[in-house]
Amino acid sequence: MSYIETSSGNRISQDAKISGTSQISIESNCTISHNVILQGDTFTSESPTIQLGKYCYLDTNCRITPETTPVTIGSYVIIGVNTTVHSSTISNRVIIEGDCTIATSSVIYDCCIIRKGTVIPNRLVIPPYSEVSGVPGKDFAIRKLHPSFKKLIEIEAKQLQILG
Amino acid sequence: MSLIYNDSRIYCSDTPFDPNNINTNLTFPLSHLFFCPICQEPRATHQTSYDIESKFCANCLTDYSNNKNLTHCIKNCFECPDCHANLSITMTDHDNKGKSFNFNCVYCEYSYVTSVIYKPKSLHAIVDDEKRANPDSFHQLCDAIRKGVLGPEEEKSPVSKNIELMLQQTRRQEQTPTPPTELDLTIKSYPQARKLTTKTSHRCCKCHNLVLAYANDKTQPTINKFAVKFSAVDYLPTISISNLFNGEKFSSQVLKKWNGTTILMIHLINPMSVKCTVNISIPSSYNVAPEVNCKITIPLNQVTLGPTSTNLIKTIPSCFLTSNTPTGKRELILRKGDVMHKPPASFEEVEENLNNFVERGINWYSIPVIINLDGSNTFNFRLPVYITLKSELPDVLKKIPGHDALSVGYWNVIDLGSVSLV
Ligand SMILES: [Zn+2]
Ligand SMILES: [Zn+2]
Ligand SMILES: [Zn+2]
Repeated sequence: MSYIETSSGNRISQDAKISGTSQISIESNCTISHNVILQGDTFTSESPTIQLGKYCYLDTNCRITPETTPVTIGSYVIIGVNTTVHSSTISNRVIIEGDCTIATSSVIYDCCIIRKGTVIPNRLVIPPYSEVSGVPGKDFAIRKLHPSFKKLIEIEAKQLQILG
Repeated sequence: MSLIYNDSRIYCSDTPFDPNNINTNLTFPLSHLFFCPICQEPRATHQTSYDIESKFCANCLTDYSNNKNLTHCIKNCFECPDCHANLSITMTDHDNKGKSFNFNCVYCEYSYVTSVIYKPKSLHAIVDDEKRANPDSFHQLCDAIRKGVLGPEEEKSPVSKNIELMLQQTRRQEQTPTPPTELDLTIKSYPQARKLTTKTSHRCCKCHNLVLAYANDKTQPTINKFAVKFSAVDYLPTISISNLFNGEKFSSQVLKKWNGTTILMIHLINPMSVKCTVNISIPSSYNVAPEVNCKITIPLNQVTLGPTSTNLIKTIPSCFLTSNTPTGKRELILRKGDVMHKPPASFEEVEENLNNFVERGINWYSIPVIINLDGSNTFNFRLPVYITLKSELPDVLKKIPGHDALSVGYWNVIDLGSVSLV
């Protein structure tokens, strides 16, 4: 399956389902993999409804769907297979592993890892350097993440941009 | 080649390492460790002492660093007692200027309505008062014990009084064999104040030197700047394992069916801006699992890894390169040339010319290892490797007194996952 390469180094799969491109802003060196869904047209706004920084890696089948407010994603953010992100703010250097749901109005600060299958409920704020796992009401947990992850997450995102 | 998702763990404990009986509770991913520049040893969090430097509520960003005894937010940041999601709060008006407050979980079915309030009070005070006025069975029991011990009648000592209470209870049970009245075990749950997030500085337990400290700006609690940060990933090499050739991915998560001899590749990657010499020793024989003999052949035991580079692609061992992107493909052709289009070497070819399959890059080495396993069993295969690292001091460590070189020794355990011998 082939990719379209833009002048700013973004790689976008030809079978990614992108709607409302005029309301989507992607900075540089980002990868949008197969079957990724970017819904930029869920509402109209002067500023972008989906915003990605640099070196973001959106893995197969992940989905970004803003509701009434934008989805803002910083730089060096990795979003795993089958994960869904609703209106929320995600800072720099964040890994969201596969099969996660990030609900509306949640905020994820710098240097966080959201483990596979996690559900982040509406309006929850995840402080910087956190490792989050589980489903609320079942096994939801927020632990501290070691400071070394600032460097490691950045390298991980840059490597994914090279290795695909 | 991920520095985050790899299968190496470092042994951190004062108890000597036993390769025949690896205590995995004392092994940690490199990314979770500090590095003490005085002791020149990796340090797990349990080998450090910590101080709370600041604390804040992640929800409303209020700084509570000066409120020593607070552990929870005192503003209107409430969380669901059942699922920890946020509670939304609404107000209902009643006659005579009365008000009641409704807490609804944004995620689950939980809700709580306060009684009607006539005097202004904080939400915390309202919830606390209602909790006290209507204690659940657990708090009732606590109250009874507290009263039993600290009751106002002083003619008997509290201890004898409690013993008497207990004896009474036992006697009553002996006399009346009827089952005791059932306790009401439903614990009523109240809205909970959100727990504060803390920032902690850490000191090495052995030498009390700081390994982590914040340069704190309390006006912006969500920004983390460090005044001191010694992380093991900045000094110790990342060690990972892969299949011999790229293409097929190695995963410790998958059960591997091996028939005796396997050849894998061990990779060592230097994170420092100075070159280092790494000595690798693998126990010549150890108990991998009951009734399994293990023999490991490695063509070289000592390598010199060059300094790392800002050109990231050069720091990735060839085994991990892919041709998924133009950049990756270009680098692969540059490194492998024609070899890329030839069929991979056979097992026997590699076994006989092990040295030819050693590969080195600017800051890394890839070394093939022959693993001979004899027996029949399914087990979790852990490969312990003793690493000795020597280098000149990297710039950051030059300011630390006491050493004129870096010299570290530690056990690195590579977890290969489940192996079934067939
Ligand atoms: Zn708060
Ligand atoms: Zn709830
Ligand atoms: Zn120390």
